[in-house]
Amino acid sequence: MRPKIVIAVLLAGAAGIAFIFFLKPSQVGQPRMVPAPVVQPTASAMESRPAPSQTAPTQTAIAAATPAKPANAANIGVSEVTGPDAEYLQAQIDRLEDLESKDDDASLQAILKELTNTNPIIRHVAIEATIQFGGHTAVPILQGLAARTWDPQEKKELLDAAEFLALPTLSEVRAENANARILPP
Amino acid sequence: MKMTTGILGCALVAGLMTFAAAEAQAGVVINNVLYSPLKIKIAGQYVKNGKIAKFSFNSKEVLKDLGYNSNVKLAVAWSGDVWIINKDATVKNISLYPNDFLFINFGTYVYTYSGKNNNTYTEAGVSYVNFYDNGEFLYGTDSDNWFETQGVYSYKDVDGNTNKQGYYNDHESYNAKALNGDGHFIDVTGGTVPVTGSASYNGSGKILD
Repeated sequence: MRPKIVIAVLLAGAAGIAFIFFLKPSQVGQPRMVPAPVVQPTASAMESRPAPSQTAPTQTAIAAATPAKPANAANIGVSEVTGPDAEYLQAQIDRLEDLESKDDDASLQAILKELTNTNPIIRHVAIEATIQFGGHTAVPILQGLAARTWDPQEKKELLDAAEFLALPTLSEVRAENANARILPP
Repeated sequence: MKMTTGILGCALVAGLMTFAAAEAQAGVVINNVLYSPLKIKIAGQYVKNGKIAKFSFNSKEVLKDLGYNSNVKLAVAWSGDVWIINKDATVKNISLYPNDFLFINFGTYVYTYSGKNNNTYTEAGVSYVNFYDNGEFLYGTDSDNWFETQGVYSYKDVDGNTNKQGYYNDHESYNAKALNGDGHFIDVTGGTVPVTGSASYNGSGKILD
């Protein structure tokens, strides 16, 4: 009788562990986001800007994606990454931070995809990564997402990022070297 | 019956461990020092063709100005020094004399400890984020490009419990959301210009106690 109980308990335990294992995020790096159809940025948004220094606007993605609902990404920051999804989140954060230091279009596209991730922490980190990646390609995408984001703080974060990226960079101003003079105090 | 209870307990513990293992880690730990990626976002104003215009200057622009290309980033070590690092190695400390290119200094501040065993340190105050592209701030303004900013910041350091292997999870975050000051950018203006912006770093990793 006892061995039967022991075997039954062992089997139940194994089944429980297997169940818990399958409940976990399946793979680090596997995106969990809203499908993001590829679209072209509008020409008007790019016309008044200096030529993008790093990527071609014609290869851009996302803008039409529906922003994910849970919000307050701006407030969440990335400080307390704990809980069952922590490993997945941290891997995504690390990946975005690596991508932002690169200069190729594929890296930018990988960052932009995460702007519509269902997780607000990932979206917040993706906005930061977009800013640090630089260039102007993301401007219409950020503006488009802001227009469809219901959360006021995330909307502001997206618009602030778009405004910053719309500015010419120091490198571009250098190249342009226009009639600049001191702004009076 | 005791054996049954023990086995049942083991199964439960194993199940719980599956959840607990997902605690956040990573970040950039090099030689047991946590390096937290530094994000700088500065906008400068100048007059162009009779109108006030702005330009941007982020961490990547800082690196470009210092002669670095992609695949390196700015990061802050526990000491507060700013480093250039790549994926798994330090490249250069740029807050250390005679290479004072970029540094964060802290002025007036208040702090408190909280959490279990006072493991959470929280600080708020005024910080200074300065950049000089010739690395010689001590000697004044020979840099082609420089900025000097200040603003209120918040800083938090959370240390986790030390595990059996002697490691604990260290998490540091710094955020100065509203920096302002002035700067000089040789190809933009002949003098100083007002600048505004932000600086932040955020990182976590396993440190050997």
